[in-house]
Amino acid sequence: MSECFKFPSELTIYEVQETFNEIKSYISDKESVSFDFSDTTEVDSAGLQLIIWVVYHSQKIGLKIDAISTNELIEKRCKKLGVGMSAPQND
Amino acid sequence: MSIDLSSAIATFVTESKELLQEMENGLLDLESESSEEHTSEIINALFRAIHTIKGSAGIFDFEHVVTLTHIAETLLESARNGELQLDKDLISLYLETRDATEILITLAAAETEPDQDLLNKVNHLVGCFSKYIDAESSNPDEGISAAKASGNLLDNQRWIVFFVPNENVLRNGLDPYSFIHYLDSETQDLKVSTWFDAMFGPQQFDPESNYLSFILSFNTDKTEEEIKDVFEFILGEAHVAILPPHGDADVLKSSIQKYQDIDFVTNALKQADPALADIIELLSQKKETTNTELAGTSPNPPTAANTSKIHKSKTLRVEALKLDRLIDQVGEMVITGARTNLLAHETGNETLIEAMALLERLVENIRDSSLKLRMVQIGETFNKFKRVVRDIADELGKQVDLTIIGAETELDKTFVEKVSDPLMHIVRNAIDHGIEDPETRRAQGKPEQGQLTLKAYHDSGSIVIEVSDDGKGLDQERILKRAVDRGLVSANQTLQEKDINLLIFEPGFSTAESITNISGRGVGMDVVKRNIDSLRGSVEVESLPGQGSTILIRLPLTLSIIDGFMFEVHKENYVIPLDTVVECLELHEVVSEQDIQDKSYINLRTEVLPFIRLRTLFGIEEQIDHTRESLVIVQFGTLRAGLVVDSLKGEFQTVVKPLGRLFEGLKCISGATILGSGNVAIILDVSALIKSAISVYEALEKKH
Repeated sequence: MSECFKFPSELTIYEVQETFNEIKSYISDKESVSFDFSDTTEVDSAGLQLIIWVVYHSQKIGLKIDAISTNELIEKRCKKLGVGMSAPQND
Repeated sequence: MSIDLSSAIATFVTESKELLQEMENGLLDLESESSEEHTSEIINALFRAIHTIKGSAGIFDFEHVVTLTHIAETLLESARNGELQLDKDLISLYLETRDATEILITLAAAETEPDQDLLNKVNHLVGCFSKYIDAESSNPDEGISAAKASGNLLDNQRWIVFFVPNENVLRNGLDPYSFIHYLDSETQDLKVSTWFDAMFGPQQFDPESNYLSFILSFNTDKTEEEIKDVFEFILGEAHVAILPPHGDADVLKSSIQKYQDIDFVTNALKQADPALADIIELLSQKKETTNTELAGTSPNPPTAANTSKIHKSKTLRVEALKLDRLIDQVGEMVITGARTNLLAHETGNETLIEAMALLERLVENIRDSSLKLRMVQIGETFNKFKRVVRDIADELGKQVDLTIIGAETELDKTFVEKVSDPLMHIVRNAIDHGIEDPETRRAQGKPEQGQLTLKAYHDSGSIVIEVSDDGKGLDQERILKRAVDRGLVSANQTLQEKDINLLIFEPGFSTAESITNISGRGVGMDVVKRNIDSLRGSVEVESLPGQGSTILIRLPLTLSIIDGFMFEVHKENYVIPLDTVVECLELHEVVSEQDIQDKSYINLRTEVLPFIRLRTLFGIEEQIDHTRESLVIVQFGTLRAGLVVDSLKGEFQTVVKPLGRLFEGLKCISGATILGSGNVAIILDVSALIKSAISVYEALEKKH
């Protein structure tokens, strides 16, 4: 089981740049990754966009996604936007 | 990790320039096109060109290019739908936009910000487009009723909103999701399709830029205005288009252009409203033919005439430097082949000599094939003049029709590049000084519209480019007077007509009464002559007073490797292009020694043929026996002369090597070549030799 990347409680335009930098450094030396959004209770379009990016980007570059822990808010918003977020399968 | 985009940008610049050139040609064709079908095809091609440039510029963040092409594209969409006629003013606006876009792309690629003048120009163009767009959309009710009247309505039962927030929307404090959330609370059964693939493009993902765009569908009993109000605060930062049930197809057509992925659009629409099956089907078909052609709903299949407007051949883009290197290497192979052939002959081994002959033929084939790689059609260069002629004629208040003949004639790419500027000067001069204004032409019984013809063809180993006009022709009296005033000729000197005409190519020569922006400073025509000379070409002028002039440029087919003809003079080898050789004779069989003493011509089958003894030309005092001399008859254009040489050596594949600057001033010499033995042979300039023979002949005739 890989070390998990925990997203902050607030993931808005004010936090995305810093979080993005941390994610890049987190995934740079990994073969498999895990993401935890369960504590994120405030999210805007920028935050949702970053969540989409990290999940799909990891998949695109061939990282194995061990787990994605999410919460009701994120799930609901992703569902509203029609974006599937349950751990995508690697090819 | 950052991605190096420099090579992608270089490709973008090259491709954009080609698209802009196509755009210019299309716009100029539009002015003269009367067929509705062709007009529509040209407008579609223009749209695709602008759309492609805009899309690519967006990838590289070339903001000014995107701004300008976006608005130009928006207005073109109306022309595409048949709502707007592209008249001369609009064509001029698009031509100006084309020019500005080219400059903006060049600057953006060089990471240089445009100066204030250019920005003002861009703003002015954007303003002009906005005026047209505002006028188009000033009465939306009219649009709806027109749509209804034309039956251009869709079958959708649900409301659809196309929502494409721009890139900076997040940075500007707007949250697209909140608008969707609010819409959800105001309507029923909201379905959202989100497109986010843009964030995986070639540029590094920037979390503060927006990459999301949406297609929303819902049911509601609210009015269109009320739905629009939901997006009120983001309208300036996003494309928002509302398609009510049974909405106007044009809204759909213009909106789907905003999305970069046709698969996404078809899937989203399928999900939004199954009643849109027909339009989805149409989009799927379009997708198969082209990715950029999203919006066309015209059922007309492309005709043969349509496809011929856009020449799509299977081509491979190769760096010019690589081709030059290949031709250099082929040149070296030819030289080494000649050396090996010589050695094979020295051995006397017949099998080896035969094998060498076969190899030499193959080398010849490779030489011809590789030289052909550099050949391009002159039509591309000629087409550029459509714009020049249009602009200059407009500026001078003249009417000029340009006819292009022989656009498919091929010549070496080096020539195309170098001949472009001289042609420009000649064309400018023809319109400025040659073709009269409409009133004068009418008074002289000529049609008001002047004719300018650019013609290219192959003629005995040369490429000939003719620029002719039906203007007033050259005023020889004035040319001669000006030449005497300027000391170019003496007052008592008598010149033939063709020589007087050639005086216009003397430096600083101009008979124009007034200097215009176009021409008249006498700078240019001498440069024309110099450029043509540097290509081993020649210029001739034919003119008939009141009927027009023709300037004739004659260029060799290639500069690098030629089929040569070798002969010997005073134990040295000399080469001339084989194409210029008409025949070879033994001199004593044509004329006796006494008959040509102190003469510079011979009577060859009742024809007077000026000749030149190369021994005399090269200052060799020692003479050889008359019976050993040979006569090579050469022709360049319409001129013919004889060259008296010591002995003939025959055909020789000649790799032309330029001579150093030391030899620049020497007339009659155009280069050198290396022989199989390693010796150097001088390549002679036949045009200069003939002229020299003719002038010696004329000088001696005058004495007698």
